[in-house]
Amino acid sequence: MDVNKLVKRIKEGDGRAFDELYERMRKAVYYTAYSILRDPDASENVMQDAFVRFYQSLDSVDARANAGSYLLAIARNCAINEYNREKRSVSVSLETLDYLEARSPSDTGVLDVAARVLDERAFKVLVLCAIDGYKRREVAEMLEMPIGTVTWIYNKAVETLRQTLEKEGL
Amino acid sequence: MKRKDVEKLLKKEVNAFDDHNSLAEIKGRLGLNATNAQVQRDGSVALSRRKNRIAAAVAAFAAVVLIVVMTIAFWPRGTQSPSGPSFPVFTSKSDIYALAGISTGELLSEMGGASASSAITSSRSGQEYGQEASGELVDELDGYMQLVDTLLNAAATDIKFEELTEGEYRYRSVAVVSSANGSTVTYTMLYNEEITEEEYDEGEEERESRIEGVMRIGEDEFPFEGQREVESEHGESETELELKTYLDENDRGTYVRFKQEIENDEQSYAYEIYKNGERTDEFELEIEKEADETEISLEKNGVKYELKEQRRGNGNVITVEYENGGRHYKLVAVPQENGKYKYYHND
Repeated sequence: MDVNKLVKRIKEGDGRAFDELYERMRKAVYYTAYSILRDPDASENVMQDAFVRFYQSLDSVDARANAGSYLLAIARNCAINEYNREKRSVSVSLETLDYLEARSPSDTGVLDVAARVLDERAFKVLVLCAIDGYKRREVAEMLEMPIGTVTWIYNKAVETLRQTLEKEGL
Repeated sequence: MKRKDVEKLLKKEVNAFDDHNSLAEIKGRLGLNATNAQVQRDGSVALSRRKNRIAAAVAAFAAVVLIVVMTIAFWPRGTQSPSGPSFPVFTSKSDIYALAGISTGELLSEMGGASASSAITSSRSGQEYGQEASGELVDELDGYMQLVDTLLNAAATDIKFEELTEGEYRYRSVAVVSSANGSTVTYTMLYNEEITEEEYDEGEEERESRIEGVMRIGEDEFPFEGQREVESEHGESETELELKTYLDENDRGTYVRFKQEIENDEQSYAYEIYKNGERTDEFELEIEKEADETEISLEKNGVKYELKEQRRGNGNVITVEYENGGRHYKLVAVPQENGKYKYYHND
């Protein structure tokens, strides 16, 4: 179900639509936060905050706008605020984030490795494309990128990850 | 390592994300579920009228198997999907669906008060086996043994599918499920399937459809809704079916979320059970049938149990194998007269 249509149904008072929106977007929101925080608990808290803020600002969501992209933007901003709050001495801008501080070379899960070797954009593309039910076109819309760019970044990210896994014998 | 293996690993890890029932937390913060209420289209609030006809735990479990029946009902043996010829018809896998459907009849017969009809009827002591097994994983497995037992001991079934020309729903499928004791249970599914998106582009095809309907079993009616997506590219296809079946039409917080994925020859069933908006259980099943032998894989909390039925002495037992903490375990599950199982080490 299209996120904009779900938003419309929520605005019309359909109580089930918010559940559907959550189900549709929860992983994307979580991994958007994770791409910055690299911490499961903190990312889950940010995911909750993002949905709460999104719901509270529904009136300002234009039916013609890209609601999915808007929700992910809220998640990203919440994650950056959280990151800055945790690292009070390090100020992080919206454009450049120092991921190295949050990376742990001892992690062995595929996601951990991806988080370690990819930048925020590549990690986000890789993970969103891996979420069940998401098409490349939908990922492109959520990230506001051309579909060709998403495919290019995705292919490059998978290859980088494959080489790293092979090199590290994982 | 191949690129496809990386993608598979990634997909598995990404989709295993556990949100720890965050939806309930979020709705609590927004004041959306304080009284387990449903917000209606006009913005008014109606309290849900939860039925008490079935204990919640049994009902949730029953809902799981109801959905298994839906699976076979959507793709009956030798019958094309109503959505058009481009959807795959799983004739080669139909035994698997039939097998899954029959299990539902067995379990629902028990819920309705009929005697259990499991093909495993002998009750034996554990003298002929090794030391009795116990522990957390054995306890966990025990909760799924009735489902496994029934799936392994399936009988014949008969499914009819028709397109209706009048009434609220366009399609009807009727599954008459026979159990080993000769009784039958009839499941009637009425539903609409509407194509919501279609794309064709140089050998690639994508199609999405929305499914909505009810399943009738005796006097009970269970609403369901979901979607199906099919992607075909150069002779290879991926199908995803996702359904939510609600125990009560007035309680949209208690349901089973079922997801079936078919990628060429591989298929899996994933289940999530929600009660009052909170996820209370999740597991995955794979069913493989080769010649006369059926094998079931049950994956829960990262542990994969491989289960097979075997003839031992005067009756059948179920063998179980799994890995935990780097160690391989072999158990044998022996049915008892009270319908429960005893587990013995079988190394």
